Amino acid sequence: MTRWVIHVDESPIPLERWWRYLPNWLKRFLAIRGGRAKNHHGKGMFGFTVFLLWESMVFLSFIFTYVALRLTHSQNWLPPGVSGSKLSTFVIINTVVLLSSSFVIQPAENALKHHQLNKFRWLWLMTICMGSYFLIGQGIEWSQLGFRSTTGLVGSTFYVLTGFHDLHVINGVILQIIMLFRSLIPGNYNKDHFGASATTLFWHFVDIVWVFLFSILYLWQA
Amino acid sequence: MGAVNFVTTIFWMRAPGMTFFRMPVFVWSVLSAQLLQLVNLPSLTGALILLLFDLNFGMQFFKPLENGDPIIYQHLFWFYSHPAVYIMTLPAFGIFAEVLPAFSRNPLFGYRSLAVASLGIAVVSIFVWVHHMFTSATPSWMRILFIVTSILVAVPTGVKAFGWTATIWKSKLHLETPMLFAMGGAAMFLLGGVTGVMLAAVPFDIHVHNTHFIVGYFHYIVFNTITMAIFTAIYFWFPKITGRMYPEGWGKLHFWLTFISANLTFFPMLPVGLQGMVRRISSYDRRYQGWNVIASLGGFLLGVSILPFIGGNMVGSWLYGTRAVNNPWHATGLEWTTTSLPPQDNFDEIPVVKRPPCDYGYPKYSVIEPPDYHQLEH
Repeated sequence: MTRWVIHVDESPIPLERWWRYLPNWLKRFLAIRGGRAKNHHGKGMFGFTVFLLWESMVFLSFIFTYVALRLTHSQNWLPPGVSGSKLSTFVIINTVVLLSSSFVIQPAENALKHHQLNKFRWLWLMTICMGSYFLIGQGIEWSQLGFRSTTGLVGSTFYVLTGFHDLHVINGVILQIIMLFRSLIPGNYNKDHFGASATTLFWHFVDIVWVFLFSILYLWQA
Repeated sequence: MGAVNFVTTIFWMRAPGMTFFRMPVFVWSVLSAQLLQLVNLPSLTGALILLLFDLNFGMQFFKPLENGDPIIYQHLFWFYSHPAVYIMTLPAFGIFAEVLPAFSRNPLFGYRSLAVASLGIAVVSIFVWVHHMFTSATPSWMRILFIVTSILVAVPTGVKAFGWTATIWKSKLHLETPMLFAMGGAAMFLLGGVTGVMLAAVPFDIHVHNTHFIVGYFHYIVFNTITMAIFTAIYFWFPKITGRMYPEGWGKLHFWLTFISANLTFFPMLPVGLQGMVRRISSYDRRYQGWNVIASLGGFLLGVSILPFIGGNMVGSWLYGTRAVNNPWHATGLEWTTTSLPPQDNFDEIPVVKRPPCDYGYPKYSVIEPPDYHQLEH
């Protein structure tokens, strides 16, 4: 007499251990098999990353508008007598400063993880300076441009894209200043430095967005 | 912000022992809805910001006379607003999938398929938005592509609908109020979903665009499915949330009034739309009068049907009802293990999850002996 055994909730396809095929960092990030946060840091970084996904979709909608308008209206993109955004050395230097500030902020956060507060503070301060340099450079570039925000499609799209990006840079710099002041409180970063990690990730996000914006605004000439 | 909260909680703060495939299927559908929210809402944000700049700061994104393009606004708007309806519908589907097993005492049929189908609906629905723009001079290739994706989204939806049907197949149903609402909602979703797939075809859509057919269709989804699901959820979890039991008689009265009046109100819109009655008008041609009278009667009855709900159930039982026991429906699920009116942190001690969801009556493995044919012959 055979006994029939029916698996009620298991599927015949071995989906049971699907997570084994993921890399380790992804398993930690998604809390596979864990599901319970040991401290605030992992939970917070996951939530912040999800928020940055949302934010990048906002930029994507602006970029989509820019690309769609530029592709369909390429004849009258530039109003008569107006030249578009110029790829000058000034802009290139600005970009290099912003992008290399990402390579400064990451060692700063690593130093904080190893509790080297002084190294953290100096590298962090350097990042703040580089970010501010970028903002001042953007302001100078805006004042030297030949078109205003109401000058046709080129004006509208350029100012919206760079304007929103600069707002995010300003936010990033403000966050960094706050984290710097927090590090001056003794014993503040002994246990958990979620704020600094989140600010670092935000700064990387700002940089990556700038890479995209730079390519489509400056490198893509009609 | 809410979506970030939900997604982070679902990934990082489940009870010990609750793996992803032991989560209630309602949580799966909420996860899918919130992931949609995260990916698609920014499109609406961008559209509104650009519109704000257009109207108030003199920029020219959408002004056709100044080389702008209003179609881009439509694309950005509908890229969110189509998934928006799935954000509303997915939790409704999840509610049906929670309530139907509880009142048929059957495990949910194909739990894993329903969980993955929720994610599947979310993913496919990101790629269907142009079906709201079939009459906006979109090119033919775009329309054909979006016919295909719009019909494709009916596939995981059908998986869920068949799952509900298979759950209650050949079982003894306990027809309490939440079950009545769940079955009524799931049944009427059939009509709404089928008319939706009809609308995915471009020629049909062009014919009924801007008519009452569309109004009838989406009200079948929004009212007859989503709102019935919300009533289901309210009646199902009312004892848990308020600690009091609602009177069953009022609940059943509410259901039958709602079911009959919802169908009376919205079904006539379908034929009237096919005959050509336009939407968003204040007066209509005399030949549409018959169906419209029925719809109006249904509308008034719908208004009356909410009275037993508010008076009898919400106000009456919340203030004066009998106290509810912990698990009035004898349902499985973590929320039923705590007291009605849960304590401050929901559980007095953190529970550990060992069993899969909706395993009504079954241990983890079920052993069934085949019938003894030799013995029957004697």
